[in-house]
Order: sequence, then structure tokens, then C-alpha cells
Amino acid sequence: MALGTPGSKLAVALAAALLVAMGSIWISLVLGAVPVPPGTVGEIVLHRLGLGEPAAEWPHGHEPIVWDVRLPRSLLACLVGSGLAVVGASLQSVTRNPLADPHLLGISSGSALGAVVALLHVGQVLGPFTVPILAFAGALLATAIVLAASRFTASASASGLVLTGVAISFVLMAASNLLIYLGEARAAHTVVFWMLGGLGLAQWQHLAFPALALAFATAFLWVNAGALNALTAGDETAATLGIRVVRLRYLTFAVGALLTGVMVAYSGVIGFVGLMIPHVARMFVGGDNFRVIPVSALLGGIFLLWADVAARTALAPGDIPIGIITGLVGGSFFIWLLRNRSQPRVW
Amino acid sequence: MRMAAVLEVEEAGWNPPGLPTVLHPTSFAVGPGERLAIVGPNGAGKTTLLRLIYRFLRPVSGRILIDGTDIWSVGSGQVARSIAAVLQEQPAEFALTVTEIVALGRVPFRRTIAGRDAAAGGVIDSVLHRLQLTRLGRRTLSTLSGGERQRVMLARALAQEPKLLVLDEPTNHLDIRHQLELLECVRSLGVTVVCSLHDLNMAADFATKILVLRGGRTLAFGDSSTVLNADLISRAFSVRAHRSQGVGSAQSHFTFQL
Repeated sequence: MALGTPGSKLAVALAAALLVAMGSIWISLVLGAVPVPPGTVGEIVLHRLGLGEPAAEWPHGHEPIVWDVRLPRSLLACLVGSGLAVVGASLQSVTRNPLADPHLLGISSGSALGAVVALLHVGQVLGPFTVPILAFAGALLATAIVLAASRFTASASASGLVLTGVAISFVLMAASNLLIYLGEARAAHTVVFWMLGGLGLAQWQHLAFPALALAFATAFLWVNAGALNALTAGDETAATLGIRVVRLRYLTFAVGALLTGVMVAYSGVIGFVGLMIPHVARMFVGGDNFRVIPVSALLGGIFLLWADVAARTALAPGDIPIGIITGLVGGSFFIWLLRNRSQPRVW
Repeated sequence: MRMAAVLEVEEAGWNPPGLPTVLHPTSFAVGPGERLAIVGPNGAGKTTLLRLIYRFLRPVSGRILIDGTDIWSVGSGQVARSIAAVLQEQPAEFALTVTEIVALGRVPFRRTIAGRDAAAGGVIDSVLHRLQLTRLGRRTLSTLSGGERQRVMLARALAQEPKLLVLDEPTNHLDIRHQLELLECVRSLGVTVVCSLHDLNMAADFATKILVLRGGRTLAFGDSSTVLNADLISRAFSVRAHRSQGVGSAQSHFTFQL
């Protein structure tokens, strides 16, 4: 493709972001309570991928630290960050609301409610995966309620859906708070930690579902990128372009709920990624969702990876909830975003 | 460049579910290349009629036909390749450039998912050129003036290569020069046009046919040169209207008083 066409711009942006992502993962394997030299990291990863000979001189413990602890955690950070950013980008388009993010669906409050029920009241009735399963169910339930309520109130418009989401979110949050209030004080501490998010429980066998959900949702949204662009022109204009507006909006919400639900189940509620990253992506590549969605995915992954590195190294060997990091960065970023709103974009 | 469509509205009426009728069954026909202006007081049903024509609302009674085809007997994508609309909605500010917004007009023509149709580049370029937007192609909407924005919206609709162009109050918020320029541009397209306008003198100048609505009913329909008269306007708008001969032109103009 010729230089300067939209496609080549996308290719350059994606290639650059992919390189940064690979480099970031490498560095994330080096950093931590036990620093591992970059060369050793490379040798361990190559060896485990079946591409290199095991070296005799690796200090005891480096291999499991890099391969069993840090790498799955870093990959999960990338998947979750990508997923939240992609959901945020698509929701901002279908609601025409720059403040839209996965929380808008009532998802975080729904999944929080599911987790609270699991942690404080029913215990591990479904085995070790009770919390993720109930958190996922809560997310889907919340979205189903939002969509049903928007039909009930006949407000399938962009702003109608946003307001419905906010209202349902408050109701579900109140329910969670009531359950926390009625529950045991010590267990409530676990709930708070879970609600601030964290990737400390990452394991190799947990990566399949987030990866599949991310691939499915990103493919769906990317295929519909043109229609998402058209929706930003307004519902009626989009309809005159042959787009079934309400159907596309509901589908996007459902796909967003599915993806966020899976991510939240493995990582807890992580704020600001879905809100912030799409805006950063648009600063780099403009507003065309054909570019915004894949670039958001890569930037979201990179951002959450570094947020997680900060979370586990800032007070090492302690592990700060990652939501605290993303909240600090995200809030500050937003002030900066407001200041730069009216100024021309970089590209 | 493009063909013009025949629009037939047959006894088309609409009301919101369970609510009183907004538009009573209405019938008229507009020939290829003609320009219909819909006039009437606020709440007369102009916007509802336009929404029926651009297939946003489905008529409760009657049919809308484009070149003899009921627009609800075919898919929305197919209709989007014949009918384009310039509405009063403003796009959300998501950093789309002028070129990207105009390219939205090609959405109904995509052959492959997420791909573009082969003609897209040429059509977009020629539309940008026609509306003198080439120079602004890489700007975002928020950096444009009101007149430029409205040209972008028109360009987006023209990128659909419509046979019927629907315009909802296209001159709103434009200064008088931009109003005249916009209407002149639409006139030069040669496509069939349906347009709601508030300014009766402008409607008489611009349109070949005029439909006068009041309270969801047709008060009059006919050639723009003959249909409007002081008595009709007085009844439609509840004002006292007078016709006066314009200075320096053959065109007569209306003036209004309470």
C-alpha cells in the first residue's frame, strides 16, 4: 500500500505499538521484587518456547519466576487492558458520549455484586472459580437489566441508554453495599481489594478465556468499524446510511458486556482504562474506528502492563491494587485531556 | 452523474404507538429532478413526513414509493443507495476529519466487510471538490464554521450518489449568503429534492413544487409558482400575509403581520 494512505498509517501505528508491546513485556519480566537480568529473561523464554538450550547457570528460582509468575501476569495485563480499551472505544461511539466506558453499562457494579455475593455470602459453592463465575454472571445480568430497562422506558437513544446504565449502576451498587454492610467485617476487606482490581492471581491456564473473548469482540467491532463511525453522525443519519441503529447499539453493548465480564472475572474492577485509552488512540490516529479499535487494543495492553509493573514494584514485595494506579494516572490524564480538547491533534 | 428518482407518497400517515395522529394520510408525487419544498407552522408534521420519506419511520398507513418500489419492501441498505438525507443532527466530536465524514456516505456501498467500494475514492474526491471542501479535507468538524459544516453534511449525503435528496431545514443557522449558496448548489445537482423550509419566499424561489401542511393535514400541493397565495398562507400560519411585487425582480414576495 502506498505511503500516506489510511491503511499504511494504520500499519505503521500498529507495527510501532506492537514493537513497544513486545519490549514492554520483556522489561516487565525483568522488573520485580527479584530482578532477573534481561539476557536471562530472553534465554528462559526461548528455552520454554523450545527454541533454546537450558543454561546451567540460571540461579535457582529465576525460571519459575519469569515463566510461571511474571509472564502469565504480564500477558493477562495486556489482554485485560486491550479488552477494556476496545470496549471503551466502541461504547463511546455507539453512545456518542466521550465519557462512556465499561462502567457505564453498570458492568462494574453488576460484577461487583456477583463477587460480593460469592465472597461474603455463599462461599465457594461452585468451587475455586466461584468468584469469577459470579462476577461474570453479575456483569451480564447488569447489562441485560440495562437493555431491558431501556426498552421499558422506551429510551434506546444514545443518551437514554447512558442514563439507564447510570441508574442501574446505582441500584446494583446499593445492593452490593447493603450486602457488605450485612456481611462479616474481615471478609469485606477481601471485597474491597477485589473491587480495586489486581492481576496477582494470573496463571497460564487462566489466559484462554480472556484471549478468546478479546479476539471475538475485537473482530466483531473491527468488522463493524464503518457502522460505528456512521453512528457518531447521529442515529437518524446513520439510519439513512442503511445501518440498523438500535440493533447495532444493543449488539455492541452485549459484546462489551461479555468481554468486560470475562476481564473483570479474572482481574477485578479496573477503572479508567476503557475511558482514557480510546482518547489517546484518537490523538495518534484520528477518529476512524477502523484505526481506533486496533490501536486502542494495543495501547490499552501496553498501559495496563506498565500499570501492573508499577503496582507490583512500587512497594515491593507488596502488591498495590492496580485500580489505584490506573485511577491516579487516569484522573490526572483527564485534566490534561480537558485542557487539550480544543487544540489540534498530533497527526 | 446520477439519475433522479420519482417519489410517490400514497396515503402515508403516522402516529406514535397509542398516541394521536401526527400525520394524517397524505398523498402527492414528485417527478424526476423536481424540488419539493414542504412548508408549514411548527408541529405541522413536516419532520414526520420527511422521516417517512427517508425511511426512519415506517408509515402506519399507506406507502412511500421510489421509482415505483415501496421503500419498506427492500432493505435499508438498498434504500440508502437511492435516498440520502441532510438532517439537523450534529455529529459527535470524535476527531473524524472532513474526508472521513464524507466517506461515511459510502457505507451503503461497502462490498466487503470493513472494506471500501472501488468507486469510493473518486466519488469522495469529486464531492469534496464540488463543495469546495478539498482544502479542508484533513480538518476536524469542530474547527469549521457553520457554513462549512453544513457543506460537509451535504457532501456526506452526495457521496451516497442519491437519486432523491431529503433536506431538513438545511438553511438553519446559516447567514443569508450561505443559505443562498447552499440552495443554489442543491438546485444544480439535478436530483429529485424534498426539503423542509421555514422561509416561504425562499421556498417559492427554490422549489418547483410546494406542499403546505398544517396540523398533520395537507392544505395545498402544487407548482410553486401558483400554489402559494396570501389567503392560503394566512390560514396555514395564522398570520396576515400580503403579496408584494419585489423591487427589481419579476418575483413577487410575501410579507407577514400578526
